[in-house]
Amino acid sequence: MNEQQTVTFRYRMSNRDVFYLGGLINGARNITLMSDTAVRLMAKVFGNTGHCVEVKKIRLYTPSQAGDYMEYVARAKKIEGKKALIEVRAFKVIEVPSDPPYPSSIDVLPEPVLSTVGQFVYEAY
Amino acid sequence: MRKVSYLSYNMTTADAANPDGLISIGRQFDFIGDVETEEMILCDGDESLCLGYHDVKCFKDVYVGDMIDYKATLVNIGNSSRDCKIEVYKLATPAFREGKSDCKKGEMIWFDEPVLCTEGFVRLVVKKHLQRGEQPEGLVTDPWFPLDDFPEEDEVEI
Repeated sequence: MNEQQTVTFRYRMSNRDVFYLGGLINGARNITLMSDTAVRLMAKVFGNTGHCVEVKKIRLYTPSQAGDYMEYVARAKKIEGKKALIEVRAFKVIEVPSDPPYPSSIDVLPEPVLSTVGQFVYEAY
Repeated sequence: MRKVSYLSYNMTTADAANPDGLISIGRQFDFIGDVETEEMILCDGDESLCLGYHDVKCFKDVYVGDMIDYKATLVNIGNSSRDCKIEVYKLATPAFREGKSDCKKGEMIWFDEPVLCTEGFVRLVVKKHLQRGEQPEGLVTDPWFPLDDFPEEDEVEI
């Protein structure tokens, strides 16, 4: 993989991101952050943020909660002219335990958990 | 133990503090707080409490459209106090902000070396009874493993 054609983006979900009861984040918020990652890749590869012209597919595996630390990785799978097929994967790396020993306790996951995968087509302006 | 943490954010108009698109230092501390907290979680498995910042120097303004990385480096561990160095880097900025004329829509400048915008120090505390010991690294080492329900396609038209 060409290092030029990948980016990593890390973000902590907060109560600002919560959409549903119980601190649950909506899938769309993750997709927004995945598109922020894709835009970074576009800026790096094309020097232009471009815009999304197609969402090929998205699969939601594990929901996110407020307090989770997420890592998003994007790669350009294919580039044709001003267009790029970008795959983004979202992983949960730190999560708030369901029954913490203390209210401020929080766990780093031994193995990051796949949260969402998407493929987007972006086109530079 | 991993002693360096990164978080990322692309500044939006919702983050702006004035009509010129300047981002307030307070908004940046939202993310600085998150990244130093991650370092405390790695160290103790606890969110910690922030006691305060010192020697925070702002070298470059941050604006809407800037792509920013926040970095925290653990520099000292006391009995219950922990010190981190914090740094804010600009990875890319809209081309017009660098004085480029006749910019195309969406045109960005991706810096060869990230530009240091802010640096400083923070002291945090994790009380003894809350310390749960060193945590795993929390890194994604192989993100591109094959997925059965998300198969690779040989030829995708774009």
